[in-house]
Amino acid sequence: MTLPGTRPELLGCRDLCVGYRAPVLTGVTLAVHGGEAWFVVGDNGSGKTSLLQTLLGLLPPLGGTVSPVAAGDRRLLGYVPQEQRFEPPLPCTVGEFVAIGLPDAVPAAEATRRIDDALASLGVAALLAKDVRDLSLGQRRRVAIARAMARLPRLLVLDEPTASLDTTSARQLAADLDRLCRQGLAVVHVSHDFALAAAHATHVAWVGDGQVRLGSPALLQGAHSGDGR
Amino acid sequence: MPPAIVQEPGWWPSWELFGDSLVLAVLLGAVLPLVGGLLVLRQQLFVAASIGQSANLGIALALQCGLGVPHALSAGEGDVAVRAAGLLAAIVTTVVCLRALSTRSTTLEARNAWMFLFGGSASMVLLAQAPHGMQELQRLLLSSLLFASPFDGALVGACLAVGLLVLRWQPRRLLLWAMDPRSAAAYGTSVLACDLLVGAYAGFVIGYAVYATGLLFTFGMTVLPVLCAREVAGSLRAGARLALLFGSTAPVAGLLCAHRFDLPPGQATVALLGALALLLRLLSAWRCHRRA
Repeated sequence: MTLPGTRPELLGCRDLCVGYRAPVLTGVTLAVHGGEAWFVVGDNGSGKTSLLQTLLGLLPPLGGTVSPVAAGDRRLLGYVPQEQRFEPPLPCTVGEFVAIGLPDAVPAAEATRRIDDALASLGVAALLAKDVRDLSLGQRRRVAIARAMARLPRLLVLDEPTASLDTTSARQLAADLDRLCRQGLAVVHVSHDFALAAAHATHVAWVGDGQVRLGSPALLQGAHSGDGR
Repeated sequence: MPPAIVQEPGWWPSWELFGDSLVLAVLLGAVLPLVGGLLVLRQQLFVAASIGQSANLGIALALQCGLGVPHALSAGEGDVAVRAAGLLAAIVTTVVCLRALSTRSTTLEARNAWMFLFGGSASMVLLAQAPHGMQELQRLLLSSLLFASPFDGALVGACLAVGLLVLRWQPRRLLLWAMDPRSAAAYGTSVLACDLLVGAYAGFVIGYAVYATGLLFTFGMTVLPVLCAREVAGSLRAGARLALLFGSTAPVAGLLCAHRFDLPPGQATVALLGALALLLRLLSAWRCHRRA
């Protein structure tokens, strides 16, 4: 057990300014630790993905500081981008697709074990030899997360993991992620599903009007009915 | 008057005459699908044709500026400055195209089309009045395997060895860069470095292949083995191995056909592979139809 305040920060920033040429978000300060389920919520175009990309170092900040990702060791990061290509122009099995996310230093036997475990943890072990192009949308989301999980991350970052999924599949996926979170994994979801966030978040970052408001899921009460702001 | 004696060619061409060409074609048949596979995974297949045209433009510029002489006047060994200009143009084009995809530029298709059209037309305009200029362009565009030198084979062999070593050393990093550059960047891979290194390698291989064998053979061997493999492979690993197999055996069949039936060997090889790709596509569609 670790004492509050002594856990390493896996993702964070101080007084961050996010944007491309002009600022989109200003004054963002947050810190993500192990075992926390963060939901970054907001309407389309509010700057959620830009914030995430800046935190991951994919977009340079316009101001402020960004903490080292996964405490400085990117091997401990699992990332599922919003747009992931599941239509490779060449045949690619689910096993190969997951393996591609692993560092080259992981030996083949260890990689096989990790791939099997990651697929099993998300209930898609039977898909191992299937071509990724033949998967359903829900299966694709799970396989994409399995690819990130096979890295044995301490921080899992998911950009709209439940987008385009039906309500049941989205809830199932969120429940699976809750389970992983309880095992000590830090999970950061970017989502525009306020109801899902209210049900599964431990921490909320609500992005809108150029600002980020931090709080507990209570912050979102009534938000999905449109009167939350 | 006695009837003229017509000597039928044997099935196996003379090694002294065709050995270097065969070695070069087989090695290119192995290395070009490696590059083609990466371009296919990056969905930039047409880039190979643009790179070829851009290499032609580089060669035309070098000839026009008097930096060298056409292949026909260089005792069969080619001219280093002309070759270097073609390679430089090919490398720059490849890197620019790879960067366009990594930075999610929406102008990639437009750039490709522009490079293909501008490279193709400008090289012809530049060399239209030059001595041996059109002959050189015709050589580059029509593809001939018949002027290969042992140096060509050694250089392409070295390129193949480097490509296979890198694939063996960093396969996952390379594939992630090709299929999902955003995740690759998040996991600490420098996408810029990969674009530059892979771009330089692919540009060099394609540019050299264009100079040594011509545009048609180069583009055909970059694309068609991968398309053939795609129809029969069940996985990426199998696809890569089959592409190498198709690519390295097709020139042997092409050269044999060309020798037996007096055909141009580069075109015969590409036509054979094109027919095979069509046949395998039809077989694959038929199999899918039966399964349904």
